[in-house]
Amino acid sequence: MLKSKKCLLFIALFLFFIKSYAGVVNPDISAIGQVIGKCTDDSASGVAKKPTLELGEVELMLDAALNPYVNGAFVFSLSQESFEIEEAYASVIRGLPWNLGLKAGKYRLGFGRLNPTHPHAYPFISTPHVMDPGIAKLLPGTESFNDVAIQASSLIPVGDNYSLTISGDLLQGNSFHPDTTVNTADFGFLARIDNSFLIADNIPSSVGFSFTRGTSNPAARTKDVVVGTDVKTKLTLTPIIVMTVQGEYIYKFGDNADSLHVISHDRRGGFYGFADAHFQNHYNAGVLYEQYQSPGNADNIDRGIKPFIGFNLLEESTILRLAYEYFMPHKGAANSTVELQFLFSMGPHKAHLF
Amino acid sequence: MKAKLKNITIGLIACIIVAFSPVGATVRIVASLPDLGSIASYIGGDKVEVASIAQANANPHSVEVFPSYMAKAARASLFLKCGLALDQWADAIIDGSRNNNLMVIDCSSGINVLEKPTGKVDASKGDVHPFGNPHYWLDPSNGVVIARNILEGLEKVDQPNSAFYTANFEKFKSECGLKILAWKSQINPLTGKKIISYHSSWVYFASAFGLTVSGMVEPFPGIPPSGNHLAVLVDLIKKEHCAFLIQEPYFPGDAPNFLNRQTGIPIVKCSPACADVKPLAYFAHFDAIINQIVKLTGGKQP
Repeated sequence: MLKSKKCLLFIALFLFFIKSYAGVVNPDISAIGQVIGKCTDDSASGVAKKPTLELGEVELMLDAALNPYVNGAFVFSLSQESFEIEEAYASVIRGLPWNLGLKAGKYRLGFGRLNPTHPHAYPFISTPHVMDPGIAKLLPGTESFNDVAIQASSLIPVGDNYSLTISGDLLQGNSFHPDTTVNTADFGFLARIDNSFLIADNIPSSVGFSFTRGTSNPAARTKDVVVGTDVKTKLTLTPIIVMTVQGEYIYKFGDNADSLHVISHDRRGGFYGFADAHFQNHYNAGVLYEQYQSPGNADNIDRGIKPFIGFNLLEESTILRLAYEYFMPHKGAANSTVELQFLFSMGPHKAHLF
Repeated sequence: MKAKLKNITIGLIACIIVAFSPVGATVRIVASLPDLGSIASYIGGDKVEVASIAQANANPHSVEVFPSYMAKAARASLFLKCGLALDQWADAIIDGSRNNNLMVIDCSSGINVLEKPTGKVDASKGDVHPFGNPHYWLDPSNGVVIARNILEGLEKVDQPNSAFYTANFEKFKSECGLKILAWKSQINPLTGKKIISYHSSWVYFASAFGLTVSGMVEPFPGIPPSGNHLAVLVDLIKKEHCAFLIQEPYFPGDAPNFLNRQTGIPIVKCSPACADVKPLAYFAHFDAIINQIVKLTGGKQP
């Protein structure tokens, strides 16, 4: 609690400081808050059939050009009990040869398409189980795959409507294991290739491949390798109906070690896919399906289907979302969860990357 | 196996060298909007290669940034921005291109900006643009200002062809002047009339042709209309005898259709952006808008 207060004091001082020196050095500031109502009949949740209403995670974002070559960004995540620096990084955006870019700091890693995106931008409210490191345990990390890292990337233009982005990240590696001490031998690695192209001149599409490797147990020297592939396309059905279709498959080649350093293999995979139609400028509706091999037993499959709808009054300033999830775990009864989210944000809305 | 790997490596290196090499002698231009691109094609002629980011029938306020847009900008010499906070997404493309030699031209430079907000500017006024209304290319006389900005950019990146660009600019200016006279003559019977627009895109167009926007379907920019607001508009249209309602294709048709049923007001459906970046597309866009207005309101046929 004391730590949280100190952090809030730090933010207040920081905001006071930038206000005092307002001018070209002023960063863009935006804040996002959300109220989430939830009702589930999942007996494992501890709140089965007891509706909850909570202030969800609040995000405070600051970003600015540091000089003509480098941009910087901070993302603070606040809740009533905790404070977290979710992201803090600087990106060298120009000045390097061969269209090279550099990024250094702590950030949501670009493994696949969903992980680098902040959950408030998900039309289905919460992270799909398969992509949640705390649930499916396929991706490293706790809530997301997020680490201190240095990234080098290059954008290679190949033809007018096709581009290739190749990136490699050297990770501190702590997202792979709970041990917070830094040991250079435990550094992780992430590589990604993203192919972006236009189909028939106006259908933007992307196909990506990701690979990451890190030490899952520093004492036993076990490694986790996760590979993934993802696709996304956007179809303009009419000028007022645009459909986004996205899917991702990930597979983990993991090794676990017990206290006696006896190693067991963890070889599992899973995927999600969703279609989300935006219509009349203010509405969206879609459905997400996911399935994955359960942690602990790859023979068991967990599945979920989640229809969702949303309404935005003015872009991202105020959004109301409703989602219903029907989840079928490999054991126990299927359960239903209804989530209602009221999201509100202030500050400049940055361009959305595809 | 080793020979195969060697061949693949050589092929990959060759691809990368080709990708980063300057292609031909043409000046590559990327424009936020097709209208800016079309004017650039006119000025640059066969010495330029122009691409546009926003599509003709899509909302230019919100463009999702796609990596291939960055790739286009990575190989370009000029980026034409609309400015006035309409194409804020362009910054992500410009930064993402990592192109050290890319010259960014703000085409709004020198424009007499309308609807500059006064007092505190915040979202309580809707999606208001803090520097004024950014749809300035819809006044054809502003086309000449845009052309001059593009000319200045081309002269900087391709000095040897400066005379060629200047000659094309003069030709554009003269053709635009003649076209404006013809369009004004066509639309003359409607001069002084009041109109309704869906969004605040048509203020420059109305001002150029002697029309007045007396109401908008959106109560505030970006906000969908309520029943009460539509009732107010029905009264306004009847009282002020509004000549037509102009609507972009990417906005829903329910509210305009309701107003049409209630008052009989004709609906002119036009994109604020021209169809493509061909040299004459900018003029053809005005031809199409004015012909549609004239056809629906019984004005003077061309």
